[in-house]
Amino acid sequence: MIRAAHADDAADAATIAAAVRGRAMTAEAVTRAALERIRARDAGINAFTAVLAEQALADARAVDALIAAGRDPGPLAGVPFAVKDLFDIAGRTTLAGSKILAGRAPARRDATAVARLKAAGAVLVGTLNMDEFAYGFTTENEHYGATRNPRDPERIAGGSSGGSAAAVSAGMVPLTLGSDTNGSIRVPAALCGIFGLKPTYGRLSRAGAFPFAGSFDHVGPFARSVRDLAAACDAMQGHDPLDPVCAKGPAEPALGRLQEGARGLRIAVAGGYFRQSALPEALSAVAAVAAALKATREVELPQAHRARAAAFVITAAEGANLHLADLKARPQDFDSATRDRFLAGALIPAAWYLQAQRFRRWYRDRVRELFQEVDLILAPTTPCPATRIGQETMKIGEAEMPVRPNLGLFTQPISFIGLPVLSVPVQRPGALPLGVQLIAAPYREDVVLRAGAALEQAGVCAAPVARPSHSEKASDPH
Amino acid sequence: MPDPSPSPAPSQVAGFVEHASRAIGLPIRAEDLPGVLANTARLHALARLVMDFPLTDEVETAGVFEP
Repeated sequence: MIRAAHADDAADAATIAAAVRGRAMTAEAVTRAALERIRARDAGINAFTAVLAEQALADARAVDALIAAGRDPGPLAGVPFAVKDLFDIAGRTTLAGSKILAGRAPARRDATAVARLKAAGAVLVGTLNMDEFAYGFTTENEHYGATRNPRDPERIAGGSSGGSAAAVSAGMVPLTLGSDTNGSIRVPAALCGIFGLKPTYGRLSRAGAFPFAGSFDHVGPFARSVRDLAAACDAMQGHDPLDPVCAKGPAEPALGRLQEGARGLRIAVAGGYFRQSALPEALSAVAAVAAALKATREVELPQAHRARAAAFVITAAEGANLHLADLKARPQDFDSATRDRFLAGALIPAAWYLQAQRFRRWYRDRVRELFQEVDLILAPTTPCPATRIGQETMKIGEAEMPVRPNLGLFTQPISFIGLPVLSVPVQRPGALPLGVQLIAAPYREDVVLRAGAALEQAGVCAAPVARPSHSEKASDPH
Repeated sequence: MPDPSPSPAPSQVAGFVEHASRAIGLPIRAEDLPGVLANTARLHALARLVMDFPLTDEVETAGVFEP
């Protein structure tokens, strides 16, 4: 039994934690198996930027020692996890996908999210690739290479948390952390065919996560089951005085509510903007989820195109301001994919930025009104499946549009006002997966996770491990 | 709803980049200029969508944003 469990890369975090807590296997053995999978599989994927084998094995042995002493090792005992390369890890320099930060001092403490997962018994095994400074949707990093999509290595994993999605999709680890400012958890989760949770803005502490655009920065988990996302989110919840926007209210665990399913939820599909600029298959994925959840009505998020524009302007201004000193002193050291956008963002007039922030307030109030009538809104995560590595433009209908800024068309108007979103995977035989956003009112992670669990139960959404020998080559839609 | 404001001409975008970068002391290298101009033009187009939308005086920004 122990041997079989080692080999099982399809085991989710809940299964592993139950086996470790029940002494069916040791955390050390689980960690060794994960390290072996990373060694065997990551060369073709490039999800990891560092593997912390020695520390991981030491941490795993500490979990085993707790169990041997009869103490509670935590709900995620022995679960191997990895984090986007922008989370602080004590003793290591946080790079955020750049080479500019390489000269900085090592972090003195773990990021709050990392520390809380470790406190729950999870074992950190490495750091994961990303777009430089999280400014992108493709994880084609000039310094550290492109991360490949485990379901078709010719294609992007999505970004900016591309390594976080690919590592889970390829079955290297069951749980990872990423960040989402405009879609950077949801886009790669969708393109790699797994589950990704962007919680409410402020729900999880961002302390020790390298910032991008503070108005929209979130952190959140990736996994292959909804219960793993709920368990991870529950473990990371709670106020943190180190993050000024972290929610002050009590933690609201969601794991125990999953069995309620979608019962009693008022569910609608987002119309208007969210039906334009999408390939038919992206809308079909939404329709499949809507049918399973018996959603028949449609709602319109007012002025969603302006919300996306305002998110774009605020992101460029805040991101550029953060990096202004380096843009002046050493522009040559930026990834060429981010440099021009940061430089342009640095020149944004105050009037644009402030008007965009005021519009955000207006839009938030209108969408709050919508949530008086519905509990859950469905929308595509991306307009299309994963594009090819190096592909600059994509064709949606008659329009040819650049890939990098437009993969976030449908995610930006949602993170703009901090709503909780679960991106659920819709697998398509013979074709690449697509994602559907389940969107709820602020602080209602329970609603998106309950609906996600119902879709899993119904067999509409699933995140099987992408097998190297069974990688599905999609017919090219572009 | 007012008519959408006109798109700036490429020469206006170039003039804006030249003056704004000088005003904040941010040199733009010649090899970066085409990309900066393209991204600035994109930002101008997006900002128009924001600036053209009328907001009443009482719509304030959120100091610490609460969703």
